[in-house]
Amino acid sequence: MKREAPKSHMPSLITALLIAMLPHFVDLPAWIILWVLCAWSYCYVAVKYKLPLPGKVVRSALTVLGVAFVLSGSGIRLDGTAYVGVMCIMAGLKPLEIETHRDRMITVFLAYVIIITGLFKSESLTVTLYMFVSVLVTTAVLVRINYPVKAFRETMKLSGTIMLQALPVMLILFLLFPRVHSGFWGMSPSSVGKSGFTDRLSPGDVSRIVLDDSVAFRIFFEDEIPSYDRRYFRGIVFWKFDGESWTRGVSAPLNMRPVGGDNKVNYRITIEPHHQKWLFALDLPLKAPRRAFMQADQVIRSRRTVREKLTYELSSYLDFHTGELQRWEKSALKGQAEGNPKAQELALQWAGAQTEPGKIIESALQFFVAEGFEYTLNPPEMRDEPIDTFLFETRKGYCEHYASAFAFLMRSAGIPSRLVGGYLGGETNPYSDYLIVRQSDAHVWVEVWLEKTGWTRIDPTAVVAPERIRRGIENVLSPDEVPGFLQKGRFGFASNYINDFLMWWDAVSTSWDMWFSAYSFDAQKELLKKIGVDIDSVKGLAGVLAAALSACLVLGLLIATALVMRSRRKKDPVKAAYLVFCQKLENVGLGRRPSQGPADYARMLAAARDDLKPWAAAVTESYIRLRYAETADKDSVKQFKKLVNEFKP
Amino acid sequence: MTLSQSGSNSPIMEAAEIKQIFQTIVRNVSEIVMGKENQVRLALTCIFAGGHLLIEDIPGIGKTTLAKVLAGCLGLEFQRVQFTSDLLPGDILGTSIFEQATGTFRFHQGPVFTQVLLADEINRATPKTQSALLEAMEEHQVTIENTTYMLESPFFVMATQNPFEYSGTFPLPESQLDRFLMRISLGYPEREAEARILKGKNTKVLIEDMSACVTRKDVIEIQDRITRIHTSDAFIAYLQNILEFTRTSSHFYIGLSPRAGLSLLQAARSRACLDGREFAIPEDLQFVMPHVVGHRLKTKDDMSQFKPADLNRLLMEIPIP
Repeated sequence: MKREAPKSHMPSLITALLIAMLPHFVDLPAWIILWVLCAWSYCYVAVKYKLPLPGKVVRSALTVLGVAFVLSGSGIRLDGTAYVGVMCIMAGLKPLEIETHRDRMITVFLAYVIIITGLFKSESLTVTLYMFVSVLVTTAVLVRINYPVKAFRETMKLSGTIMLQALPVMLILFLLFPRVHSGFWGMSPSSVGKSGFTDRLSPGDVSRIVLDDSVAFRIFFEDEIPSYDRRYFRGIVFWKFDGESWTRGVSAPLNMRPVGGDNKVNYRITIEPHHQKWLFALDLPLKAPRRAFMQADQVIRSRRTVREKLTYELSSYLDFHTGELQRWEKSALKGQAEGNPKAQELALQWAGAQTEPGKIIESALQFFVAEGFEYTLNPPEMRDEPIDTFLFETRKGYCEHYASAFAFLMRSAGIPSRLVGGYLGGETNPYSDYLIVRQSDAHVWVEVWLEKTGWTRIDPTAVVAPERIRRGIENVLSPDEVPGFLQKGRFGFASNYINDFLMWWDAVSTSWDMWFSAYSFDAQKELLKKIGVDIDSVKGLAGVLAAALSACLVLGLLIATALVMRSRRKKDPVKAAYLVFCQKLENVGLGRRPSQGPADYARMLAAARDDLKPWAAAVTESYIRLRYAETADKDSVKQFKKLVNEFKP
Repeated sequence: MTLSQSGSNSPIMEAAEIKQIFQTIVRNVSEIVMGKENQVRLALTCIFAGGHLLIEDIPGIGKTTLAKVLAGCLGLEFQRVQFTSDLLPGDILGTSIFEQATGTFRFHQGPVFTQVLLADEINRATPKTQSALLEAMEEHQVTIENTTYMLESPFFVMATQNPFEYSGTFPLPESQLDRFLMRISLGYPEREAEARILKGKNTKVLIEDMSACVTRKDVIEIQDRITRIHTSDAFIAYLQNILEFTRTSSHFYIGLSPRAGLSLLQAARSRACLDGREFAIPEDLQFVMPHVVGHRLKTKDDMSQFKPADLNRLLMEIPIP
C-alpha cells in the first residue's frame, strides 16, 4: 500500500528525537546511527517532495531486522546498551509510520523515554543540564503538535512554563522517591572504562596512559594540599618480573602490618569508573575505606569493580616506616632476577664493591645520571633482554623503563625491591580547593626494603628528569613530545579563558556530583526519619507506601474530577459530539485543524473521500444548525449524537 | 436582466432567494470586471453590511469600473470625485449660494448627495477635505452652516488610494482608516481574464447597456435583514478569540478595538446573509476577517500593515471554540 507522506510536524518531531538521542551517538554502534539518520533523512525528503513512505510489510521487516541485529551485536544480553540500541532503532523507524495525531504523540513520548535513558550513561551535571534542554525541546514539540501554528517563541515559552511548573514535583520526587543503591534503576552507567592500570605492566604501557587527559580521580584534602613531589598516589604493587613485563605475582595477605608514620593527612577521593578494583591512595594509606580491603603491601582493593563514580575517605602518612620484611615477601622475591645477563653482572659488580644497600642504590642512581640517559615518551623498541638493551644501548625511556630497570638491578644486587604503579602530582583547581589527577599523571616508581626505614620509595625518574616529580611531565619532555592537551596554547589566543572555563566547569560539576551522590539511600532514610517515618521497620515502610499511594490516588482523583468538571462546563453536548466525529476521522488520518470551520472541514472530507460526502454533509449540517443557528432542543441534540455514534469512517 | 421581481413583490425575501440574488449580482458584475470574483463578493458584502470600502491599488486596474458596475447592478446613483490637493470640503458637500432673484441663500448639493460615491485617490486631498467626507460617511448626514442635510440611504463610499505613490499625499490617519469597514486590493488580472478584457467589448459600452438586478428597496431590505442575522454564543466566542489573539499575541503592535469587533461582526453577518443563511458561522468570520482588520492592525516588528495572506495564516492559530 502506497500512501503519501503526511506533511505535518515531521521536522519538529525528528528534531526532538535527534536531540534526545544525541548523547547516545558517542557510544552507539556506527550502523545504528547510520540507520537512524538514513530513516530520518528519507522521512524528511519524502514529506518535502511527497514521495511514498514504506508500507506496513517493509516497516515490520525493518523492525525485526534492526532489533535482531542489535540483539546479536550485544550477544543477546539485555543490558543497558542493548536496550538503548533497540530504542534507537525504533526511534529511527517511527517517523516512517507517522500518520495520525496519535502517532505523533507516541513519537513525543518515545523521545521522553530516550531522554531518560541518558541516565544510563552518567548522572553528571553536563548530562543533567543537557537532559533539561532536551525535555524543553520535546515539550515544545508536544505543544506544537497540539496547538499547531503558534509562533516559535511562544511555543518555547509555554514549554518552559510547563517545566517550571513541574519543578516542585521533581524536587518532591527527588527527595521522596525511593533511592536505589547504585545507578539509575540499578542500571550502572555503561560507559566503557578508559585505559588505566591493569595488573600487568609492560614497557610502553604507562607512556600510552599518559596520552589520555581524562580524569582519574579528584582529591579533597581536609587541610593543606601536600607539595607536588609528595603527592605519590599508590595503586598497584608489582612483584613478579618475567624478564619483560611486571605482574602482581603474589596474593598478598590481608593482615595489617604495623606501620609507623608521621605527617598524617586526611582526604576524600572521588574516583572515576575504571572497571578495575584498584583504589588509589596517597602514599602511604593507614587502612582501607568502607567496602574495600587493604593487602599487606598497602594495595587497596574495592570489593566491587568500580563501574561508577565512587567516593571514599582515607588517611595517609606522608612519612612512614613499614617495619620488618615479612616472610611472604621474601618468598615473593626469591629467584626473580633472571635473564638480562649484562644488567645482572653490573649489579653484582656494585654489590661486590659495597655492602651497604644505601651505597648500592646510590651507585645505581649515579649510573643513570652519568651515562646520559634520556627521558622520552617514545623510546626505541627493545626486543630481547629489554633491560640490557635499555641500560647499555638505547638509554632512552619513560618512567616505567627506569623503574623496571632499577628494580631489576636492585634485585640482582640482592636488595628486595618491587614496582609501584600509580599517579604523581595532579593539578589544583583554582576555583575550588581540590586536586584533579588525570591519566596523564600516571607514574611508576620503585620501593626497596631497607633495614632502617622498611619499604622505601625510590624514584629513579627523579634523577633523570627531576622536573617531572616537581612540576609534571609537560616540563620535562621535548616540546614535540608533549601531548596536545598539555600544550599551553592549545586553544590559540583564547587558551587562558578556555582553560579557566574548563577548570571552573570541573569545579561546578564536581560539587554537583558531591551534592547529588550525597543524597543516597541512607540520606533519604535520615530525612524520612526526621519527618517521623522509619522505613527500616516493615510497619513503617508499609505505612509510607500506603500513605504515598493513597495520597497519589486522592490527588489523581481530584485532578481528574477537576478536569472533567471543567470540560463539562466548557463544552456543550453538541460540540462534544462533533469532536467525537472529528476524532473518528482523525483516526483514519483526516483530522480537523483546531482552526478549521465545520463547513470548510466538510468540504475537505468530501474532496478526500467520496464515501464520506453524505456523512460529512449530514453531520456538518446538523452541527452548524445546532451550534450556530437558534438554540437547539433536546431531541435534535439526541438525534445528532445518534448520527455521530452511527458514523464509521 | 432583472430577476428580483419576485423578491421585490413579496414583502419578505427567503434566505435562499437572497443567495440567488447575490450570485446573480456577482455573475453580472464579473462579466464586466473580469477575474475578480472574490473582490466583487467582498465589495458587495461591504455594501450590504452598510460599510464603506477602501481599495488600495495602482491606477488602471479597474477600480472605477468596479464602482460603476456595482452601482449600476444595484440600481443606485453614482458619483465620482477625483481628489486633488486643492479640493475643498465644499466641493464635496455642496455650498450655499446667494440668489439675487429671491435675495436668499440656497444650498447647492455637492456630489456627496448620492448613493455610491467613488472618492478617487482620497489621500491626495488635504486632511480637512478628507475629514469632511469621512464625517459624512460616519454620520450619514452633512452639516453646513448649522443646517443638517440627511444623506439618502443606502450611502456607500468607495475610496481608492495608490499605495506606491506617496509624494504630495496626505496619508489617512489610523482613526480615519477605521471608518472603512473593509480594505481590499484588486491586483493584476490573471492571464486568461486579461485576455478576455483585451478581446472583449469596450467597458463603457457594457456599463451603459447594463441594467439593474435589484432595486434600491431590495438593497435596503437586505441591509435590514443583515442586522437581524443570528449570532450564537459559540460564534461570539470565536470572534472574541480573534480579538483576544490580536491583543495578546506578539505579532501585533496594538490589538483590535471593540469597534473593530463590531465591524467584524457586521461584515460576518453580511456574508452569512448573502450566503443564504439566517445565522453566522465561523467561516463567515474567516472570509471577511483579513479584509476587515488588515488596515486596523500593524505588525510589531516594523509597524507595517498586514497583508490578507499573513492574516489568513494567523487565523490558523486561533482555535474555533
